[in-house]
Amino acid sequence: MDKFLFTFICMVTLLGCASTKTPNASGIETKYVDPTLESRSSGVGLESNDVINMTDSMVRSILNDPIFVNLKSPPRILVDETGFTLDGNTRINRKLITTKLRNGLSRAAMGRMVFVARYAQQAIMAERDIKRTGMVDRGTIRQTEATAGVDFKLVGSILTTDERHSNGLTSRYHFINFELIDMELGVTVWADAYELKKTGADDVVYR
Amino acid sequence: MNYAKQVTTVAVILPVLLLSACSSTTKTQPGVLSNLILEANNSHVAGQTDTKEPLPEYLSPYLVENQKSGLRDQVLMNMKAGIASLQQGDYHITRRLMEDAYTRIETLYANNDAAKAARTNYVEEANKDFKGEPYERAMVGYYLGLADMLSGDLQSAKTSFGWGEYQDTMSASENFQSDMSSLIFLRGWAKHCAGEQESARADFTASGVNIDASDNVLVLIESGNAPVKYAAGEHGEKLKFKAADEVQNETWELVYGNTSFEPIQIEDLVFQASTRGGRPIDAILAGKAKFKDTTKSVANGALVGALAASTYSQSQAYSGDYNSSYNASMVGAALGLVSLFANVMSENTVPKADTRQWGNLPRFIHGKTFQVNDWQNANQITLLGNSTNAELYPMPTGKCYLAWHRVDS
Repeated sequence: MDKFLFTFICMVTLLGCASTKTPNASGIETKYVDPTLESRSSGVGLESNDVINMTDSMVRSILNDPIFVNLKSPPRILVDETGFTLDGNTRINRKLITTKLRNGLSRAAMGRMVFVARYAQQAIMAERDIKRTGMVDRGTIRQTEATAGVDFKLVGSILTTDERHSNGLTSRYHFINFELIDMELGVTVWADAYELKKTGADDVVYR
Repeated sequence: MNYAKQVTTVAVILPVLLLSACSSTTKTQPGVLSNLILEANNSHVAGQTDTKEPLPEYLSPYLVENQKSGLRDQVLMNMKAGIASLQQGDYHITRRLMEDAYTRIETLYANNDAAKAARTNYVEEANKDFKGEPYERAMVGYYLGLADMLSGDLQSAKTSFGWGEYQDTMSASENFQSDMSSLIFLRGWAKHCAGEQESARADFTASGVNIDASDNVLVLIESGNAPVKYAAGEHGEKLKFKAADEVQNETWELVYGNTSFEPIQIEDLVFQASTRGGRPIDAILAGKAKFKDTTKSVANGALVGALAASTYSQSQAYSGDYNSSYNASMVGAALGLVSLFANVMSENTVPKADTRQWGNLPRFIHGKTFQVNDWQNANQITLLGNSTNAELYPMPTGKCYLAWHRVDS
């Protein structure tokens, strides 16, 4: 009896030590998640909800600025990533921010401002060429001498500063700066920023 | 309580204690190296590079290893395969692999089962998902930055080099925090090529490597073997670094047209690895080692006691005092059990430090910048060294050109 009990206990002990677990062993079915919600991933960089919140905030800020309300004709604005710089430790697709911003502005402006499609300039020039050579007709709207010049261009930058604390906490502060520059006079006509700070600690085995 | 009951109690309680202390080794999920390579090949602009196979043959060893080691070593596989693909000119693959490594290193592992298990006595440190030591993480930033530059994305390159340099601030030794001047210099170079001259100058000054404002070619030469990690201490609980056996640091000469240049050493990874200082987990591993020693001592002591009790039991039996003999034999049995389980605990304690390493890193990085107005000789620069000569072909990166070469050790 004692021998049986001893053997049983040893077997249970060994099984306990040898047992293993695989996270999500059977996989996870694809599902849609709300991009405006905080991500389950953990890091101190930018996530989808940050991009959505910051671009929504900038759209409201631009459209509420009196300078764009009082103009006689809709200003031509260039919003692309060419003037948007990364000056910190967060790696992000700049086009994601500027495209979302242009899209939001374009929908909300209701014709109060127009957006210059410089990113499609090559295609525009090719189309103008074949119209003018007669390969295709003139289209139905109009012909212009030149493509649109820019009144205001968006520039900006993502600036960060990182902190590492002795208790293992790491923090990253983001200052995402947006400005609209008068492309004739060379002055800033609008500026705003989106700020956020995230903090967390890695398991001690990684510090 | 009689001795028989006491022995039974001990026999039940000890394994329960052992079970509660015994953590599970965690399994890992399948590796994703093949997916990353396919993603890179599917999304890169045709004609930018000349990859003919969806999963290049030269990456087969890493794909096989990734299938075996799974997600636990994903960052390590990305690191190794990333260098291999850069050597083949497939920088779009390097970029995707290093980008994935960057994301995984950036992820904060809080309440992670594998990391939690790695802290317990019975699971080794290498159970945790690999992120690498600070010099290895920093080099992810280095290769990601190079791949960004070769892809024409100078803004991301600035971030990659800067992020890599930040990884070096993990160093516990205050004197050597943030001393990876090569990455500060490269961030400056990326800014220089992006036309951000003011900011670039600040980085050049901080790195101690100054260039002429008109320079538009950067040549990087990597040579030597990666720092070697090894486990020191009686139970291998101390992580140490040493230089690999290799040839001496060479001097190089670059020849372009009728002009020759001498690259300067801008990084020594053995220095970076060996000046890291202590890690917080070292205290945990030291605790594991102490536990292993203590439980071993308890096992040995209990065994001596068990043998003594057994001898005494026999002598009492010979003298006819069967009651004392029985009691002594019960004590001996109890001590025997204590010895057995203490020994099991000691043998199963794993204090060994994690020595997984990025083995195909170089040791030295040499760099040189100069100005070229009109390319001659099919954009060709000749590298002359004691052990090898090579022809380098710089590639455009914004307003500049970059030539990267790895000297085989």
